[in-house]
This record gives sequence, structure tokens and C-alpha cells, in this order.
Amino acid sequence: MTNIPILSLLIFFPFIGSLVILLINRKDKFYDNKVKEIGVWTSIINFLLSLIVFYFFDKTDSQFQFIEKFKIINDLDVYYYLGIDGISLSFILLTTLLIPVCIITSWNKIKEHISYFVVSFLMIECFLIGLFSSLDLFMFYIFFEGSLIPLFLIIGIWGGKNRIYASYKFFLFTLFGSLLMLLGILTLYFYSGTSNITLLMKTNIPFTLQIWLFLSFFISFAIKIPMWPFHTWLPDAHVEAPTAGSVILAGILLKLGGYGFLRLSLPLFPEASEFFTPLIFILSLIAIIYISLVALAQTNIKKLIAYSSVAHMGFVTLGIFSRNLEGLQGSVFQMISHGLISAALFLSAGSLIDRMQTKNINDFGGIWKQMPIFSVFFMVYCLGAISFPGTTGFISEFLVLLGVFKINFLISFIAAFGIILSVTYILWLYNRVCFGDNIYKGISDLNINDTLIFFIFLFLIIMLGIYPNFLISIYELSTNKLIIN
Amino acid sequence: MQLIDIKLFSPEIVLIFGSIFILLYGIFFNNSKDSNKKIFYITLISLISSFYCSIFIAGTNVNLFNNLLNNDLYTLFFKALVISGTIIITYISYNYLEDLNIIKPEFFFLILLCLVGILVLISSRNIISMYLGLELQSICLYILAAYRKFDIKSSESGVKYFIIGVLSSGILLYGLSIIYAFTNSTDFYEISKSISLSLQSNENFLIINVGFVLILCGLFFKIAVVPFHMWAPDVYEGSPTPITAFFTTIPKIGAIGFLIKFLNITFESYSDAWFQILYLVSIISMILGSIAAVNQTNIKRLLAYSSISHMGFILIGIMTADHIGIKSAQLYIFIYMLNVLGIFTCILCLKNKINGYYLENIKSFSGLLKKNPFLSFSFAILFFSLAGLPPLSGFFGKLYILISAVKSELYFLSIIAVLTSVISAFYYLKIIKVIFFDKPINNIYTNITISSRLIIFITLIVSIFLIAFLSDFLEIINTTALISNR
Repeated sequence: MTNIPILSLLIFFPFIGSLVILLINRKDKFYDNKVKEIGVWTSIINFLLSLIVFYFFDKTDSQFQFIEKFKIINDLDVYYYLGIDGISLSFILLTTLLIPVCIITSWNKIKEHISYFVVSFLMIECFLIGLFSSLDLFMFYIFFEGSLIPLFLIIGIWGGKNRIYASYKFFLFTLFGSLLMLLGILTLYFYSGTSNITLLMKTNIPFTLQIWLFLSFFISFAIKIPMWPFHTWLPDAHVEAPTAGSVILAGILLKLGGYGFLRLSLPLFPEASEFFTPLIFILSLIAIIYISLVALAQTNIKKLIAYSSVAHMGFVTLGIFSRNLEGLQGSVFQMISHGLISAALFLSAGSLIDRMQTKNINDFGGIWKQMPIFSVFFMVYCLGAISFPGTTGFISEFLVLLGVFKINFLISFIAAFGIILSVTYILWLYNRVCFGDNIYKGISDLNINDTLIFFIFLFLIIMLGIYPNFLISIYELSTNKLIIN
Repeated sequence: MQLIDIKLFSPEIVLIFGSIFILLYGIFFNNSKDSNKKIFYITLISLISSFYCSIFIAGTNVNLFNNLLNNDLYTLFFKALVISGTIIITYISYNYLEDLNIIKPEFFFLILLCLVGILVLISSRNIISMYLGLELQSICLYILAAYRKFDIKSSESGVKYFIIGVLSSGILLYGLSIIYAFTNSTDFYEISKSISLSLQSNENFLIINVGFVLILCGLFFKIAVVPFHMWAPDVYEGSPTPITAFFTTIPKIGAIGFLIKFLNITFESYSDAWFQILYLVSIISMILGSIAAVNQTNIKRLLAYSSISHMGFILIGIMTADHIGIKSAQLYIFIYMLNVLGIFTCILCLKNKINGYYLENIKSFSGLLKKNPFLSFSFAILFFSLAGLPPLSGFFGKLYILISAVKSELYFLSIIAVLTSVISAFYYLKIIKVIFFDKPINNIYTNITISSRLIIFITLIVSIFLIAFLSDFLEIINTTALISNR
């Protein structure tokens, strides 16, 4: 197994798929269908490939595995250097799971420029897997910023009314952050003489330099996660993005920030991380409490879910910077769990919006009578979002709170209020959407395709909620290693 | 003069003979219908053979004509770059000229002669030959800018460029004469020696300073950086589009190539002084270039401002004056040239359906995605590349410039560079937005010839896949990097 460059295959398979799509004859009668089928099969095969990686992944080894390494830029000593540990693997599995879902759910909804839509998603997959498996700072940066282009096009071409403003805001915010990170990367590179992440983890960097570097990385990741006060691009982007765009945005792209904190900020700048912990705790608490209150006031269903994402990401940053075992494990679990739950919530919102042609929560009502199957699924996702025991949300937020509790009782106490607030806005959302007066008539329930996808999410949310060790065991050693360092 | 000098001078000689032949052919065979096509082919043949000569015959590390000119690997790189750029421009201009019915032999004659001037400028190692090259190039460009003589804007731009250009040449000449007066030499290396001597003895310090600043002003006019940029947007807008493509790339590459050589050889001992000048000029060029471009509605004006800010970027690489800085400037200008020429090729494919004018207003591009996906995606990739997004080629240019800046600990400058590239990303996105997101007005008529398709395709391939052969390419630049005599 060590001889096959399986990670490269995983990265470039979607790229090859998109090349094939661009080469199909445009005048073909079944052009659209062919494009979609190739897109779906490429992403599904990639998912199976990632399962193969998962099968051969050695959970008892805390080192990076499936290493591939060769020089790409000679004079800079930049390597094409891939390798994954448990944390990366979890995210890769999440990515390869969500991409086929995105393409399948937009099967009948996207009418215009279908080939570019599919190509954009395949390119995003390529960039994201590359990001999660790269062990060289320059490679990391290239993949980190490369993922901007496809999503910019997705929001801009297939988005809603105000899509241009939203796509600009999304693009410029993240570009600004990542260019600052580039300066940080260059400074780090000239200080240590290498861009190899595994070597950099062993380098000691003086404290003042650490502070500056940490800040440059922090702004980039904080915009991506997003943390309060850098979050303002997210609600706009979510509201305007098509359903699949929202799914990929909430499901994976937000996690890039958290992943960056785990992979780079914590191990490379340990003292600076400690120094900035109070600041980050305060920002996270503001995100959890204040943004939850903001979510409570929303009448736009997508905006509400977007704000709830910001609040949930607050738990991730809390967990990461508590820097103990429970906190770290909880935060990784929270990212995966939120990836599933928010993706499922956005899918639900998408199918509601498609049927009612409105995003205003007050216009919904009495859905349960018309769409009983949907209402059941939606209920479970909502329970996940309020971290109900038995769902993944419970495990992750419990672990995070436990980790934070060890550091400071008060912070943990305040953060726990966030959960209560999430109960209010999510249940109130469910109440307004599914119960109440029956306004709409003649609305069809989920079709078989959607039911299948919805069931996959429901299964994963409950399965991982009941048996969390299945996921935790993958990245346990990797998070342990973060603490030892 | 020896016979061997002719061999070493062969790229220029081929071009001169080609241009004279074109002129004669144009006079005597003007009547036949396909004479223009033939002239076009003659131009291409002489360009390609000049390219061949410059690489395989001209030789390196040699001085010719009594040390007037100097060929080395460094000049070879820039010569190959400008000649290949001119080949692309000749290709794209043929259709344009024929379409507007203004195709004349003079056009190709002037292009070739202008190129000769640039080649002489690049390889000059003497004040005389440098000024000769610069003027030959400028005079051809004055005429080319006003080539559409019945178009009022074109005439305006020609006159404007002429006045500003003559002024800058005068300033340059004055500076050169001052330097000559106090060093008693016209050779760059000897000037360098006497300047470092006078620096040690603190003689004539002030007057050399004045001469040096005047020369720099003249050169800054040619590459259009702030505060010597005023002419650029107007001239770019008024000139015929292929000439605008020429303006944005070829003379600038020549001037940049010369500037690097000039600063690092002639004024090597003066590096503290020119470092400060370049620092300031680079910062204001980046800021003004990117901010002023935001509100432009004409794509040629927009590209003029964006080229100002790109020149500011290149100056960062030049001012660090170390190996990696100059290398990054070379890499950047190569990538810049390809992207800009690709964009101009795309622009020249777009016409108004009703009146047949070439589209220049950005708003009129709206809905191109529906009309022609290939062109729209080429636009998107080339503009994203110019904005410096990975994994496209423009990113690596920016990366190397930032590397050289951070290595020389120019942190403030690199932060400014980063901020301005966010701003410039904004206006590139504006164009992409119009093409991709806006509702179609249905006035676009696209006319892609095979040759322009080929050029676009090449620029796209280089933009996307440069990452794969970046190492080899940098190896080439490494061997051609300036070997100064320090």
C-alpha cells in the first residue's frame, strides 16, 4: 500500500474528472445528464478511495502516514509533501462525503451552466483534500487560497438576488486574511529556512516573533472560521449561495480555520497561543452569546442557520485554545459534527425554499402535515444543533465544556448558556416552520433521492452520537500528540 | 568594426532588413490584393528568425562595436521575451487592422523598427547606444499611438505621448550629459568606476546626484510609474488596441531590463540613493495604480492603471538588488507579459453586434458567459492570475517578489503590497463579475480566429500549469540572472 501515491490520487482524481467534463461535446443531446453523471461518479469513486485510505490508516501510529515527498521548487526548498494524521483523515472523509451530496442535491435545481457547476465542486474537492493533506507551508497556502475561486463563482453565478455583493465580500475578506498569512509564512520561512511543517514543529521561535506570526495566521483563520468580529461575510454568503454552496461552505470551508489553528498555530507558536488564549476565549464567548442572540432575531431561515454556525464555531475555538485533551478532542468532534449537522440543516432549508419560494421563516407553517418525512428528519437535525444527548452535537459540546471547565469555571458556565440559547432559536425555528397554521397546500414530500441523502446524515449524526469512539479513535493519538508538544 | 560583430548583431540586423524590405515592398507592390497578407508573413518570418538569431547566433558574454553593445545571458533573456511578445502582438493585430481597414505596410515597419530600438536599449553598455535605442523606440511609438489618424482619440494620444515622451527624453539627455561631464566617459563600466572614486573622495557628489535623478526620471517616464504616469491612461485608451497591448508590455520590459542593468552596473556604488527613490516610487505606484483603477469603466484605462501597480511590484524586486530580487523581477515580468497579452487577445475577439465596434467598455462585456464560455473562462483565469491567486502563474510572480521583500526585511513595503493586491483583486473581480454574473445585453459578437485561439490557449496553459515546471523555468532565469562585476 505504501507504493501507491494514494493521496495524490485522491487530490487529482476530481481534477481529471473535471477535465473529462470540459472535453465532452457541448452539442450532445444528453450533455447535461452526462456532465452530472460524470460529476457524481467521480466524487463517489473519490469517496470510496478515501474509504480505502481510511481502511489502511494505522490508528495506533501518531506519525504522519501515506507520506509523499518530492521537490517542486528547487531554489526555495519547497516540497510537494503530503501526509495525513487522524485529524486530516477525519476532514478528508467529511469532504469526500459532502461533495457527492452537493452534486446530487442540485441535480434538478441547477439549470444553467451545469458543467461549470460540477467542475467548480470537483475543483473545490481537489483543493480541500490537498489542503488537509499538505505538510508544506507553501502547498498549504496554495490550496488554502485556491479554494476561493470556485466558491466565488458558485456564489456569484448560481446565487440569489444579492449574490454579487455577497461573493465580493466573501472573496475580499478571505483574500485579505490569507495574504497576511502569506507574509507570515514568508517570515517564518526566512527565519527557520524551511517550509516543512513537521520540521517547523521542532523549531523554537523567539517569543516576539511568535506573537507577530501568530497574529498574521490568526487573522486569516479567524476570518475563515469565522470568529466575531470577522464573521460578517458569512451570513451574506450563506443567504445568497445556492443550497449546495451553503452545504460546502458550512460543512467544510469553515473548518479550514479550525484546522489551521490545530495544524499550524498551536504546534508552531505554543507560547504565543498561550499568550493570546484570554483574547480568543473572550472572542469565542462573544460569538457564542451575542451571535446566538442575533440568531434569535433572524427571520431569514438561511441567515439563522448561518449565525448558528458562527456560534457553534465559537465552541471550536474555545476547545482548541483550552489546550487540553478533552477540549481538543471536543473541538475536532465539534467540527465534524457541525459539518454534518449544518450541512443537513442547509439541505433542509434548501428543500423548503425550493418548495415555498421564500426564505422568510414567518411565511412557513404547518409543514408537518404536508411533509411528514421531512419534518422527522428536520427534527433530528434540530436536536443535533441544540446538542441533544444521543446526537453528535451533545458529545462535542460536552467535551469542549469539560475541557474549558478544567481551565476556568466561569468561561465554561457562560458558554453553557450558549447551548440554552441555541435551544431557543433552533426550537423556535422548528416551531415556526413545521407547526402552526397550514398555509401551503399541495406540496410534495421528499423524493427518494433526497430521502436517501437525508437518511445518510441522520444515520451519521445518531450513530456518531451514540458511538463517538468510532470517530474519536481516528484522531485520538493526533490530538494527544498536540498536547505533548 | 569587425566582421564578427555583424554575426553578434544579427537579431537586430534581421529586423532592420525585414523592416526596410517591408517598406520597399509596400511602395512597389502596393496594388496587389494580398500584399498585406504577404507583408504580415514577412514580418512574422523576420521576427522568428530574429528570435532564432538572438538565441543561437548572437552569442553571449561578448562586446561588440567597440563596447557600444554587450550581449550576455541576461540581455538574451529580455531579448527573447520582447521578441516573442512582439510575435504575439503582430499576430493579434493583423485581424484588427484588416477589420478596421487601416492595414498598411508602415504598421509592421514601425513595429519592427521599434523592436530594434528596444533590443539595442537592452544590450547597450554605453550612453550613446542607450539613447539611440531609446529614441528609436520612442519615435516609432509616437507614430504607432496615432496610427488611427482619423480617430480623434488616437491622434490625441499620439500628440500627448509625443510631448511627454520628448520632454522625458530631454530630461534623460540632460542627466546623461551631466554624468558625462563629470565622469568623462560614456561607457557604463567606466562611469561606474569614476563614480565610486568620486564617492570615496566626496567630489562632485551633488552634481552627480542631480544627473542621476534626472536619468531616473526619464526612465520612469518610459515605464510609467507614479509620479510620471499621467500620460499612460490617456495614451493607452486612445491608441489602437494592439498598440495598447504593445505599450503595456514590450517597451516596459525593455526599459525594466535596462533599468536593472543600469542601476546594478553603472550606479552600483550608489545603491543607497536609488534604493530610497525606488522605495517611494514603488509604494505610491502600487497605491495609486490600484486605487485609481477601481472606478475605471474602459478596460484599456483599467489595464493602464493596473500596469502601473504591477510596475510598482516589479520595482520591489529591483530595489532589493540581490540575486533573488532581480530573479523575481524577471519572473514577474514574464508572467505579467503573458497574462496581459492573453487578456488583450481576448479583448480583441469581442465586437459589438450592431455597429461592429470593438468593445472597450467593461459594462458591455456583460453576459459573455452565455455567448462564449471559452472566452469567459480565459478572461477569468487570466484575471485571477493577474490578481495573484494560487495556483495560477500570477501568484508565483507575487510570491517571489514578496519573498525578496521579506528577505531584505522590507516589511512595511510588503504589507503595502499585500493591501494593494487586495484592492486590485477587487477591480479584477469587477470584470469577472460583469462577464459571469450580469444579465446578458446580447450585443456581443465574438470572432475568434484560430491564431487568437492558439495564443489564448498557450497563455492559459502557462497560467495554469506554471506550477508544474516552475523549477525548470527558474533554472533558466537563474542562468540568465544579471552577473555584475562586483
